[in-house]
Amino acid sequence: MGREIELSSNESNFIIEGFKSGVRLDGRKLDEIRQPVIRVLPDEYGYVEIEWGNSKLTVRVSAEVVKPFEDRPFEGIFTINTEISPMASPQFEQGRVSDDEILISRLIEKAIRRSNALDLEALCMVAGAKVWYIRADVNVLEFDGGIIDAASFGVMVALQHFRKPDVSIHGSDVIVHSLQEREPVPLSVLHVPICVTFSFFNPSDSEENIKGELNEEISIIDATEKEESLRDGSLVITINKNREIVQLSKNGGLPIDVFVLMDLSKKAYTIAESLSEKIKIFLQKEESERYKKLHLDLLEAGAAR
Amino acid sequence: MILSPAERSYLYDSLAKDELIRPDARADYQFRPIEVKTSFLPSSNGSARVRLTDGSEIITSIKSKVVLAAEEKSLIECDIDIPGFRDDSNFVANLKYNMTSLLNKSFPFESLKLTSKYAFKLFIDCVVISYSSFPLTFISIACYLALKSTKLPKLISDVNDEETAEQPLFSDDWENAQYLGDLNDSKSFNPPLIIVIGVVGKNLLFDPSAEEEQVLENGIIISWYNNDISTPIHNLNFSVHSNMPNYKGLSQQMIMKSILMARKHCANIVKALDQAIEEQTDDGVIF
Amino acid sequence: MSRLELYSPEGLRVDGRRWNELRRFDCRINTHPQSADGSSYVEQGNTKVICMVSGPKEPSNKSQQNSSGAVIEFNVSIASFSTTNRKKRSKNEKRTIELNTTLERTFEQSIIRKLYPRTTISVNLHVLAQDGGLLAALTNASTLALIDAGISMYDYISGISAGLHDISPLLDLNTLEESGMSFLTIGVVGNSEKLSLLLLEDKIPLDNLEDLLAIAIAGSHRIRDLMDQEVRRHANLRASKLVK
Repeated sequence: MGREIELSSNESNFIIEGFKSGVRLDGRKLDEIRQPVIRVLPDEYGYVEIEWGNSKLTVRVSAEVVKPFEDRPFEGIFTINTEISPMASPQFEQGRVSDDEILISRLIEKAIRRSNALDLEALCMVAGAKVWYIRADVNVLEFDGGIIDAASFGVMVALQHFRKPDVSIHGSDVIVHSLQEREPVPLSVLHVPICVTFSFFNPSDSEENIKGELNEEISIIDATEKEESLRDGSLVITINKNREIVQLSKNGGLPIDVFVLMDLSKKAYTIAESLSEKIKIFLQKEESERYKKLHLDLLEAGAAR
Repeated sequence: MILSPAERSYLYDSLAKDELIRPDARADYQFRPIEVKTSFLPSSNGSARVRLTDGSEIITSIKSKVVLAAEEKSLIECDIDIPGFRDDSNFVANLKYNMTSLLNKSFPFESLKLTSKYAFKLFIDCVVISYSSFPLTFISIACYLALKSTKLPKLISDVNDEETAEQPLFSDDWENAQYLGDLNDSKSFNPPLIIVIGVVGKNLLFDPSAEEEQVLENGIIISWYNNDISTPIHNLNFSVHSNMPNYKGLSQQMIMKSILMARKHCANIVKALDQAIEEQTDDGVIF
Repeated sequence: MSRLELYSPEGLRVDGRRWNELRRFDCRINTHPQSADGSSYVEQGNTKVICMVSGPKEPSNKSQQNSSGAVIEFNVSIASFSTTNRKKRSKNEKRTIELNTTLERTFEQSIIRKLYPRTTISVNLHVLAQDGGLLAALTNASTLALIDAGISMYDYISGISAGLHDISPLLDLNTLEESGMSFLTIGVVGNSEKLSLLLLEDKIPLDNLEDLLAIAIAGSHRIRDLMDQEVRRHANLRASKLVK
């Protein structure tokens, strides 16, 4: 077992009492997410750094040509690997994968891969022989809660930012053109799932929670590490801006009334809407800057001649 | 339950006497009573559940698959699953080895042949739900019962398909399915069994209980197939709960004696199992 | 092959049920009185699950002790013959671990853990046959076995799955239906409308969620009643023996 952070009763009471009056340690409202900061490298495709409050992670998307699985000859392969090392937080251990980590990587995988965010058929070059293998590696550098939200957000940015080399196909021969030779092509992303994690706290005793009518359980969005260590349950809602719920995952924890849940899914939708918009604006801006730079390079080359 | 040294010594003395006395008043060749149920898994070709009064319970399922006979090493694959043990642990591997070698040596494989090219392959999966004494005998009993209750679909295409490229065809009416035993019409079908025998002094005990196991001096397993002794035959440390503190070497006479004893009583065991299948209520419910 | 019709225009499903009908739900408790402290057997359609509870007992590992309440351990083992095509699976498959963790966290809230400090309650589940609604069946079997073991719980947790076919919600799916539509599994606490478990892995429109949850909750209340009947039947049986 890794070392979990332990809060003193004083501090935990302080945090919970804060929730009751609607304030959090970092000054956010209960239903406010931390606004992510996205960074990419100017001359590389598919490498993204996400800063999500104090949580920090990198996503690297890469592509290679492989033989498809025998039972799916027309589909490319897409995997997501989530790596959480002790560097991120002492609660994770080197070598041994904890149940929490498995849950995190399963959730990210279900949110993006299972929901067909990436069009796998578009990755096929020669059926049964050559397809693209797209791999997203998530590395968590610093952990301060909200990893599922941050990682799936990062993967979606990286997938849309990534460009795979252009190919030309002659019969069963495939020529992969280098980035200099031909403009690389983007992946076909079908929709952008956004994960929103809710954490639940129970201010009264468990009997009231189960038998009572009060429904005064507190739910907060995007908990930090300290808040996560105190929570009695959590719910991950993955939703896209087409009003499609991709995943609901409440793996046990504090029982929550169904009307509250409906309410939360609506809140999740507004967040998903704003985050997708954020990705869109960021990528557009990045694209135009890149284009400008390329243009400038060409001008300079022309002037030098 | 782990016995104290005093209990152990008392039990040893009563089991090593010329006129042995077993704690549950069984004779040396007697098994503990078992409860039997077969054919309760509709998605398997055969299934059986064996339960002992001490709570030990084993469920076995048999599934079949049509394979090209030439490509398979063996037409039977046996797998044992014991919760809490890894598949590659000594305990599981040993049980699996014994069952596999038993079935590979003593099984009428010709009855699995379908056509000149194709055959049925049987997948035998045993799940040990709980156990207290060494479970090998009961695993083999569960396999026996499951194999007895196994039904395979009836072949309707030509037996000689050397020339044809098509796969064999089966009757889609499950009413036409045949018992595995009826496929081989020459003689009656009896799957093999393994009997676990404990050695205490000059006495041999069939089916030692968890308590008796702790005072055994050695253990012998003997196989029985088609009314005769078969292999594997070897000695083994049965210890499940303790490390058999009385464990020591095995004399030749005891091996011969155990074979004679098995020869005398195994036919009755088989008869009792067949009777148990006949007598169960045929409602298809497990419990 | 033409695509199988999962829900006919006349409102019938592949196995002849209507949209809001459960499959045959058969449950027994105290099926393994000798080998476990509490046990149960649940058949939900063709999905068959055995559950055995042992505990509260001293933990095998001192470091697992918790002085504020019992530690709950789940261990789901899925038999390789449980699916139509035999499939051997490793014990450390991610999916199985996810099931274990999900069940652990669900029951941690409904067992009154503080009554059993410094103990372990371990729940072993054996899946003999799978035909849809696996998580729901596991939840129901665990609830019954825990009750049989006499472990204090706040209330029943009853599980059920429900899917969305086009716009019509369907209750309690079998494997065929599960592979053809999005579905969710819920675990409801007692007769309330509180969810302790909620799992959806495929896309459904946000606006249909409410309908789907509504029939799922109705279904799980029905399951709760059926489980309650069995518990009472068994309790009466025991009580009648006591009188003699």
